[in-house]
Amino acid sequence: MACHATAPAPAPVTITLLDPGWLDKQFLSWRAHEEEEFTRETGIIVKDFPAPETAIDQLALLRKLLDNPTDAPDVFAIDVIWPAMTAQYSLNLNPYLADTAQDFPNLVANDTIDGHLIAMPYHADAGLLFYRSDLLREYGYHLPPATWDELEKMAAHIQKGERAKGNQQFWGYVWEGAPSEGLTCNALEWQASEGGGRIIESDGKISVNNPAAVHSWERAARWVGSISPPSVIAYREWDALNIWRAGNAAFMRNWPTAYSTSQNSDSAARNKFVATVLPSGRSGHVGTLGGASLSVFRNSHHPVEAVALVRYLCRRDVERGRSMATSQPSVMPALYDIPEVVRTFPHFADLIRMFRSPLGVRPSLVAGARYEQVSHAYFESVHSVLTKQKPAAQAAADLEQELIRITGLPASEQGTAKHGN
Amino acid sequence: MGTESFSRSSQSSPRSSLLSLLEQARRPRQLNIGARLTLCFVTIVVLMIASHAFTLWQFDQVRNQEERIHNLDLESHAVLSVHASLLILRDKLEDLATSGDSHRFAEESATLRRQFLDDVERADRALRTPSDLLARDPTMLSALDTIESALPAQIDALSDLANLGDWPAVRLRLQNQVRPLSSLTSMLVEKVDLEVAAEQTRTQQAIQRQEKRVFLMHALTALFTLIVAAVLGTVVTRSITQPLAQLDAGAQALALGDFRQRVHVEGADELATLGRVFNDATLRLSGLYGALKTSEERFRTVVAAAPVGIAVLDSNASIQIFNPKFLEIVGVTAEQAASMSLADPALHVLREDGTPCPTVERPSQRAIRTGKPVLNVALRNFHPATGERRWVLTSAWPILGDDGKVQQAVVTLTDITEQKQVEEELRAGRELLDQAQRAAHMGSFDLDLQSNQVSWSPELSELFGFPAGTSHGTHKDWEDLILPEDLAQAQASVSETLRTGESRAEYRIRRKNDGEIRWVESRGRVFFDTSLQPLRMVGLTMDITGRKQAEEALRRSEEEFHIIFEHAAIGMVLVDPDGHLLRCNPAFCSIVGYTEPELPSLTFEKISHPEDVDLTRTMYREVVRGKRDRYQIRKRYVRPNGEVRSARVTVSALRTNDGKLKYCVAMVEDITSQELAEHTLLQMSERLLRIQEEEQRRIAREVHDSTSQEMTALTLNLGALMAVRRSLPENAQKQVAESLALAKRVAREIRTFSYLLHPPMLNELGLWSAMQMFVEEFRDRSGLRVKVEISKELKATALHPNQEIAIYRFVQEALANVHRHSGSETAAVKAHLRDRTIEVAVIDTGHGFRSDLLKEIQASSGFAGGVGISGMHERIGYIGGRVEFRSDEDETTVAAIIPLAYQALSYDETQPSVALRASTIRFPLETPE
Repeated sequence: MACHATAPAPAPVTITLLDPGWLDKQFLSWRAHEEEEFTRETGIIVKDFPAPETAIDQLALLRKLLDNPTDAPDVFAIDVIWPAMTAQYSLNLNPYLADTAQDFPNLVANDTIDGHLIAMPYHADAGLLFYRSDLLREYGYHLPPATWDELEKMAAHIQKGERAKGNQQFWGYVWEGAPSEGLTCNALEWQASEGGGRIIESDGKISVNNPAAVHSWERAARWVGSISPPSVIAYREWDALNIWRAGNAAFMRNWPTAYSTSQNSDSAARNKFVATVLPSGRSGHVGTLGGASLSVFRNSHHPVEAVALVRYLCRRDVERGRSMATSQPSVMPALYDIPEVVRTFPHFADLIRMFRSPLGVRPSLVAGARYEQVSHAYFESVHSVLTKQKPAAQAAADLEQELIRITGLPASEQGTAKHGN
Repeated sequence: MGTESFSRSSQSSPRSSLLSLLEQARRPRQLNIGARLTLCFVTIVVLMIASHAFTLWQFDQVRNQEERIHNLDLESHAVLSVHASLLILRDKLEDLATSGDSHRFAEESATLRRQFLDDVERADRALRTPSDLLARDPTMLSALDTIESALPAQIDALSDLANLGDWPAVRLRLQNQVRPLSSLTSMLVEKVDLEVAAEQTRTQQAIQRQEKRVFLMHALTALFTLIVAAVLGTVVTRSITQPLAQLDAGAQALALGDFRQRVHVEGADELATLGRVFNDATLRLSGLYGALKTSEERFRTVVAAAPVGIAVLDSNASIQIFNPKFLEIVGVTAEQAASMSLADPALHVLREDGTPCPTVERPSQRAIRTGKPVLNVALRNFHPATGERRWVLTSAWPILGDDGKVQQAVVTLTDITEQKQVEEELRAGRELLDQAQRAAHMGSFDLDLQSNQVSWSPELSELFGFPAGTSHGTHKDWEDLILPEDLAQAQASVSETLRTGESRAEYRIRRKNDGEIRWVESRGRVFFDTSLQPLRMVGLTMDITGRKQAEEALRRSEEEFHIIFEHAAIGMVLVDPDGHLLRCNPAFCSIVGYTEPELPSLTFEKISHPEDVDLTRTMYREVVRGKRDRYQIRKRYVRPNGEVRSARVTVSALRTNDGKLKYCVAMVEDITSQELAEHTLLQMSERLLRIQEEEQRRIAREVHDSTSQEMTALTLNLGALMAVRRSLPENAQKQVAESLALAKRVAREIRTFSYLLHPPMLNELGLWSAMQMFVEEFRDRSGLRVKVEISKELKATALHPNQEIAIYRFVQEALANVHRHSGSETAAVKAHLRDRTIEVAVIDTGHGFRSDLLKEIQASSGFAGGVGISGMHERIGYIGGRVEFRSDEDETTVAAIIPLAYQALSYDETQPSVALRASTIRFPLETPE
């Protein structure tokens, strides 16, 4: 009944942020720090939305939220593969954030749909090989494996040795084999490094049905139950990391942020590992390009404040601080030249090469909104090979047909597979 | 009264709207008491209902708050159960992981997952339901969403791993990935707890506030209601008690007899009506009381002033009320009367015949005894003060009570002593009358209509010529006396008398003894019995022969007059003192052009020419006032058709003996044609004069221009001859000298004659300079010393040539007369302008007119004064003036009085009447007696 006296200053604006990095404790604490700083600078309060683990679940949640404007976050992070799918929810940031020149051009291009910058590149990722340097040294290896075959041999050797020591749960190589986007990333690295292409090439040709790809799949299928646990076909990102952090694996394929997680005090791998580029095949080292960008919700009630938050989170000093604290690679090439950074994260030198390479780029741009289906068909195919349900060649052929059906794109001729590249 | 009428007017337009009710409620007296009380109670009830409604509303608010708390509790509970469920799920999964039974793990995890999702669903509902009540942190719902989507994914992942028997991976995942979920739920619980706690605090505070408000408002509304009720009660009570108190005061005042008491009436309620009724009643009572008082006062005045003694007695005949006359008649003082009883035998009362009247026979006693009025009993009493006996006519009226018994009696005493004396005197007077009748040849008769016997008084008997001593006869005897030609009329008169009760008749009788015929007049009166049957006819008969003879003479005289009046050539008219025309003869009618029936509407003013009205009125007024008895004037009448008639009117007054004017007789002689002739004559004369003037001028010029020149030439010739006279013989010399002298004299004479014939410079120099020249020339010629005085005003005034010539001639003629007749050596000409009248006087100091001559001249308007004087009269008359002659011992004056305004006479012979109508003929209207 009684009227409250209106506050002399307007109530501080609160905006919401959805960033899937929430499950990482380190990241969360740093994020809290960043937001405090932001609030101190601008007076704008930021609240975080929690997010699920896998990219598919994240996308589902994001869509659910964005479809209901009252629940929608003002700023949301999108995976590098989503721009085409979330463009409709995003504000065109061109008028606000024109200074994208500092960023990796292919990341900026990835976020540009129909000339609209629907998201601001925020952090970059690329698949990395983590190895136990202590064990390699112990087993007489001075260098990490250069090729997939070397990896296979070294893993088997160390696994045998460790098991012999009594650790029956020790495995040579752990990776993400569960039928999810993680598998797509892994498999792409396998086949692309062998010259097996990028599933659908940037010229719009479906190239997945090629011998190099089939070969690489077959090899991976061989790992299951040998150097990798039989259950690897059910491993998501965190399962591999869990085994790795428990000290029960010699090699692990994971994202750069796993570095800091592995350096946690409860990690058995702490100070006993090195991150480096994945082994190469005939075409060289490939790490699937990942990362995230920040979008502003088109119908946000506070677009100005939301843009301010995006600008803040993508600011050079903030990016740098975040990289240093969370080992998350920045989208700004300039940061990779800073000695402090390079000293702390030696693998960043490898990363910057991969960020500039087109091989690890998932066909999200060319598949557009159908990428989800494409990826799903792909990882299910690969998974069927890993679980020995289908021969690799047949799986590749079937996949080709399915992709044609999904995308309407033509398949490339067999010979065009880039074996020579 | 103002408020009363106002209230009536507002009542007369009944409006039923609430607005008008409220409007009226502002002036409580405009509403009926019932309506006022109802409005008062309704107001209080409405206020109570409103306060209760407010309280109920506040309770409803509190109930809402409580419901809110309940919802918050539900929310909190739901979130808590999600958290608990997650913890249970985790623990169970960890147990299952330890057991390593993948089959059980799959089964139980599915069950757990369902249960968990149910809990999440419930929590989701709980969190969403009251979302309208508080601004919920949007991240909470999304946290639930995240859990909802994340946990199944985790269970899927775990199940996959369990299926594959990788229990370490399962445990690690449980450890590293599922545990953080519980931190999410616990965070959720925390948030909800915080939120709920904050909300509960807010709600509690709100409830407390509301409770306070309810308490306060309850108290306030109760207080307000109480105050409103008190105010309304006071106002309404006052609006009732005040007028009631006024009414009470009024009623008390009324009870004390103050009929002037008025209640102040205001408003339109029952009390106002009562007040108005009260005021009406008091007003009427006051009126009645006033009327009663007036009536009583009048009664008292009447009783006090009554020439009748009045007394009111009680049943014992004791005097209760009496008036002064009563005391006077009875001869007692007021004190004595107050203790007196009319039944007192000591009162000395006699009957009419002088015998003592017993007590019981007294009217008062009889009235008290019988209960019937006793009227007009003549008694005599003894006046103790003067000792004289007085006649008293006594009446008594009983006043009966409701029981029919006599309670009081009113006695009236009328002193008829004087009346009795008058009766005596009357008797004596009748004797005298009889004697008088005899002297006046008047006799009375008394005819008994039953027996037809008539008795005559001796005088009548004598008048009728009956033998002396005859005093009785029959009606027939009387009829026989009457001349046969008058009998019918006399009989008719008798019948008339019988019919109307009274009449008179004139008739002739032949006296019985000497047969002489006499005119008599009889007046009769009939007396009737109670059944209106004529009993007697009593009357007088007198000898009127002398009067009849006089009347006859008069009648004859009048007849003669009438013939003269009707046939006279002169108009005659009778005028009453107000100027109304009473009667006129045909001649008058023909002069004025009205008929006799039109006379009553006419006055002299109306028929007279407007210019003559003043004169007529002035003269007539003098007659009315008695200044003169007769006058003659000349005046004009205007006929209805506009024609003007001139008349000579001679008015004679007829007066009563005391000198008052009865009426006037005017003799009107139509002199229109005479005047016309006079006027024509006048004009002719003027023309003649003009012609004569012209002729004189022509002759003068002729004489001057030719004869005079020729005379000059002759003189010159003779002068030349004189120069050479030496050569002439002596005789001729003498003749030449004489001829020269003669020629010179003739030349001068001719010049003089020419001057006299026409003043040469009049046209050139103007009247006054020419006159000056003439006077100088006249002085030279006559040796008369003439002084000329002409006023400046007159010199500055332009005159008509006719006026100028007339004045010039007048002066010329007058000076010639002075020179010829007066023997005076000096003369003076004085001319001045006064009141738009020119007076030119020629004055000499000679021996003057002979007085007889002067009178003659004056009486005859100058015609008798010789040619010169008549010429002056004529000339001056033509320009509307007159000539006056005055003479005394020192000097003689001839003066011309001339109106300044000159109006030329213009006479058109073809239309005389029109000319007359338009003209203003001037003549002396009055002929002095």
